[in-house]
Amino acid sequence: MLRLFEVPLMFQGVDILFSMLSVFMVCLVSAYACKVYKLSSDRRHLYFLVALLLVVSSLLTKLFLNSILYYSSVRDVTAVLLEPISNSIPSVNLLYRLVYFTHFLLLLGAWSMIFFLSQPSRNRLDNTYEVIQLAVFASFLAMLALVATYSYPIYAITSLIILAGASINYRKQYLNHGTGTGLGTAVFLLCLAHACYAIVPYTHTLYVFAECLMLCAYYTLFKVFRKVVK
Amino acid sequence: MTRRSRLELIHDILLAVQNKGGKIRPTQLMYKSNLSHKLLKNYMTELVEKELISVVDVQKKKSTFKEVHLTVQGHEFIAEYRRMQDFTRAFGL
Repeated sequence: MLRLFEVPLMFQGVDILFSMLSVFMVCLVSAYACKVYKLSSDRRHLYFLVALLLVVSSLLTKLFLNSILYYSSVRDVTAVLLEPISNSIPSVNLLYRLVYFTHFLLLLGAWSMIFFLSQPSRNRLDNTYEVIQLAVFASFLAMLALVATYSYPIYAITSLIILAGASINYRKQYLNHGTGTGLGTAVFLLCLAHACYAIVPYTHTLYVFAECLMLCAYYTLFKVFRKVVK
Repeated sequence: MTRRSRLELIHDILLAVQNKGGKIRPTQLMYKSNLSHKLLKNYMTELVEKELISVVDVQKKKSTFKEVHLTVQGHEFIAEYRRMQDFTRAFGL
């Protein structure tokens, strides 16, 4: 079995529960974001919705991956299901890498989308350039996600850089207009969590702390959403 | 001053009616929502079709005039729009 880092034994399974809670909270926010997008047809809302959906998909990938790693029953069922294709693949590790790659790519995509949104609208480029900018960024992220399947800190450090940029943008936005505190706080917590993830391969216990920070970040988003919808 | 989006214009029209207690004359509405006669007419046709407002003939003394009334859906739209704005502001979009 391919593992990029060791998860503390007492925390195995708890992180699955954390991921499930996060999926639930982010799903609720994205459902409302979808409603808002339908009403406004504004691209800003569409980008936000896409970012949330990427987060949900990556969390589901993580859930699947961790379930395989921790529970032998899930591993056996997956092995039976993948039997037709696993014979043609030289190493099972390649399949694990593929799931890790999907997880990293989705999450890096989500963070870059949030970074893109955190920029003031006048600094965003117009239609054609916006798409080209995103396409170039996506190709870089795909390459980074591929390399990250061999070295976990690469994913964590890339996320940290993107989220730090977004965090600074939200801080500026808060000082200038007094808006964006909800997402700004969540992004800052995500940033701290990824700083911890970057050291996880060397200090395994930090994984617990990083996961708690991630859950706090998603809860912040959920709290802001509850405040608005109430 | 930036150009108002279509949704903002609709919101401004409905809000102008709401601020006048749910009923307003078309001329007053034109001034309150800062729209030309032609544009307001177009928007009003659309809003009546979507049942956000209704245009009623009112008889007072010997004269008859038109009055724009805000419907329940209109009130709901304003509330939903406000929530949408809060959402946008809270998430800094």
